[in-house]
Amino acid sequence: MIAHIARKERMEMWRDGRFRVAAVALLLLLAVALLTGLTTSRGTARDHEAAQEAMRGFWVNQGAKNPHSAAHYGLWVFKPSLPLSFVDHGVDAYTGVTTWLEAHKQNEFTRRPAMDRPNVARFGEWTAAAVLQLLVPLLIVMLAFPAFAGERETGTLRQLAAIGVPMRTLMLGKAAGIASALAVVLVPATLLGVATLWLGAGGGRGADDLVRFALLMLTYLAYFAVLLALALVVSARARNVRVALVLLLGFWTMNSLVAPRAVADLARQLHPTTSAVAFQAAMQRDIEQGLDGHNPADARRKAVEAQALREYRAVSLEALPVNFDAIAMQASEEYANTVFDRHFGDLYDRYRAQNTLTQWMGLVSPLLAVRSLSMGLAGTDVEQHRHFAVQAELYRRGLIRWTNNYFRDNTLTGEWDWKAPPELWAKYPPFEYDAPPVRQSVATQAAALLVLAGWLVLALALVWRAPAAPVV
Amino acid sequence: MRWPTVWRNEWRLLLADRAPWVLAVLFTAVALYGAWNGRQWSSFQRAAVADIRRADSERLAKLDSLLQRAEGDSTVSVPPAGVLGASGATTHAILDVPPLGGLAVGASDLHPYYARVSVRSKASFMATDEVENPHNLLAGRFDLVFVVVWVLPLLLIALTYNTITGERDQGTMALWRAQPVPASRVLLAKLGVRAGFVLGVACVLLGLMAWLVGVPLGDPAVLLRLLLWLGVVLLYAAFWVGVIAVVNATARSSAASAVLLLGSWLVVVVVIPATVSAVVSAVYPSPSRVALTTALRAASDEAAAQGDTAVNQFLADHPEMLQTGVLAASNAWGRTLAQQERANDAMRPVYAAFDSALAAQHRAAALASMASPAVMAQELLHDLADRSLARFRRFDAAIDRHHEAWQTFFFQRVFGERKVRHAELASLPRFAYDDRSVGEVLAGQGGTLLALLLPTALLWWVGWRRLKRVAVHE
Repeated sequence: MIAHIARKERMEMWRDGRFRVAAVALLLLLAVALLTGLTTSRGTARDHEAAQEAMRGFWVNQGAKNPHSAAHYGLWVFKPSLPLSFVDHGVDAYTGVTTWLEAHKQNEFTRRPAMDRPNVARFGEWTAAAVLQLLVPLLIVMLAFPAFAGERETGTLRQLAAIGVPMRTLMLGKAAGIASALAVVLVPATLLGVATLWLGAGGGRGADDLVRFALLMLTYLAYFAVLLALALVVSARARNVRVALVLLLGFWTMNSLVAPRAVADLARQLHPTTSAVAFQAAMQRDIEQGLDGHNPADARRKAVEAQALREYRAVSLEALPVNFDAIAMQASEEYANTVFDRHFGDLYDRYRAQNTLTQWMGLVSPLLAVRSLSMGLAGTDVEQHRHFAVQAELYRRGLIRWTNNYFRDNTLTGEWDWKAPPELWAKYPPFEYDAPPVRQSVATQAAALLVLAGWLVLALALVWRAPAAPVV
Repeated sequence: MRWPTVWRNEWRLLLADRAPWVLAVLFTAVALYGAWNGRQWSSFQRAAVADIRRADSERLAKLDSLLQRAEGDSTVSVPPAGVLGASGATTHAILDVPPLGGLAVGASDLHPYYARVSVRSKASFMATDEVENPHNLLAGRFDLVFVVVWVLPLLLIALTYNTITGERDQGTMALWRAQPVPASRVLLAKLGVRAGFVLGVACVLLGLMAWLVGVPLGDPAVLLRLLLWLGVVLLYAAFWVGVIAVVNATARSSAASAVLLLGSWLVVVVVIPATVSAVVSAVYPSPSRVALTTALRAASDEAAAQGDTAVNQFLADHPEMLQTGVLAASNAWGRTLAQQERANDAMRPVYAAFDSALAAQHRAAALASMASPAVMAQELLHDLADRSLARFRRFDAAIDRHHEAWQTFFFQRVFGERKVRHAELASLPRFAYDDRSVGEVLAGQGGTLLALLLPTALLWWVGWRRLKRVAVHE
């Protein structure tokens, strides 16, 4: 029976020219979005790889130099573009893409691509994710709103009830019919996505990317199932077709276009972040006066001095067999690092609090949870950026420690004019970024997963309870 | 029946309905939220700017007293001019929160609004992005401009989508068409009263919000700007009234009308902007900042490797810098800055190519954006509130001018090996930036205004013609 109803629904939809046009248009749009997404993603990846290589070249060929000058010369690292970013660009345009690794300072990321874009870019962009998040739900609403309300208005719902078709069967049949019509768009799009992924996959992370892609598909399927169920239930309960349509379109608008902004502002208000000026000033203060305000830089230097003299059993700094300046610099690096960890850690924790709130607000607007999951799985969310920032910073610390230790071991205190041999710089390994496995990316999406699962359960329960729908 | 009778009747009908009141409450809620967000952001920026100014004036006061002591006491050491030009005497170039800033966040969440200009190259001091969660930047702000551009049309549509089709659906149209009054008069009154209600509520609310976000209404120039800002809101709303009139007069049923109107909204607010953005960036790709970063490093390395050659070359190109003709070996700052400028000279064509590629992209985007009244309205509202992207470009140009003056001042002292004297503090180059006057804004946006006005007029004309021929039955 369910199959019969589904077939009838599908046939009706297919006969409707508007559906055919919409389906073809959507499929085309998805194809274009996927392919341009791939081009952009690969272009960015190549651009960043080339820059990274060039910077490594500059570092290696900097010539004979004092190790501390080399540490000040530093190098720039560039955020790679991950394979799945072609589906969802996420926050990539809004995080800086590069940071300068230098002595003494953890710099912030600069060069946000969005800053160079024209005004119109902030209205949104056509990524595959945007099509899946905005347009497919709209198609679902358009297909589902008259499902029951229409039959009720024409009186056929009463007839169906009279010949003993159980409401639940009718509901499941209609759901299956609309879902199979949607499959006309979604199945080719998925195949195209897999093909694009296969085309674009350059690295050896194939399995992880496939899992990510599969989870991405599941996320969107769950979302579509939720929307379809909601639309059918609204259609079953609404007074007439008009009310069903207006309610569903209203929900779509709020969910897709108004909620993301409203919630972003709410998150800022509830978990405010400091201004850049205050952020820098606080770090400067903590480095100079100590994290607790009672351990100023001078006192710390004296303690390091005393410890060095003890360790080498020397009476004065001049008598040390190593360069004390380098020891002191490394000690001050270590202290600054604890300050950076606290402040940057606190900042990113605030971002996380804001984003977790956004995920929970998915309870009101399910798209928020889906957007978050989509970016997380594509590797284009804030957590991914943080992951990269942390690795870049650890590399910086290793590099600076290496220059300081080399300076310490090969010179005596005060030998600032000494130069290390030019072949030294190649000995420090180049920066290589290890993207997090999918497990780690999903871990920060717990709230979004729970919310989406909750919606799915609710939607299925509503469909199951369908008999409550009035016949007239 | 005369016009006033018809209008009065429609007005009574509207007030008896529940929908307008629900929508008015909803609009008040979103407007309050938008105003609150705008106000918070303006206060945040004002506080940051106050912190910066305080630190700047403390630094200058310290320098002032040091230089004063040095005048009378030769044992007091004054830092070399290079140090003062790079940090000791530097203050920030600041783009203040504009008077109407609370009405719009605009481009101000993404672009730096201050920079500590120094003798160093611009790349070294321009990375002053505000601390912000990228996720929030992606979502955009829920400010009053968002309320006007995105939400206001929805409210208009919600109240008017079935103005005519509803009458037909209920069969009441046949009744009043039997009355001795032209159909177009009744329909116009219906549409006019409903749209007028929304716009009246919108204008009163937005005026109130302007006061709430702290717009200094006592200043006549500011008040004029606010009135023009409200004028743009009305013009944009008028465009939507035109769309509603045409759709209402054409659609077969209320459901069809709702779908068509929401579809138009989607096309104007989402589809056209995203498509314009995609096409423009495909035809005029963004130049790469990443490549720029690499090129800058290559140029600096090159100048550093050239060493004395770079220094001499720079001095040969700028004989006015050095009266004696030779740079003392001990003048470390002179050497550093000469090398820096040598690298900058090498970068000039790279920057120029970058800027011109970007300008071409922005010009194309501005032109293509005329396809969407939503983008045009937003542009006008941002510009009138002094929160547009263009304002940041002008700020950037002002920084360039100031940077040049600053460099000239300090280069003369660095290369001439002169210390900065106390009396010279007063003549340090000062940053100056003036916002455009209302007249200049309007002159600059004449094309956009016209491009918004034309489709509106066309829609009204078509709507009016169609209203006169509305059928009683489908």
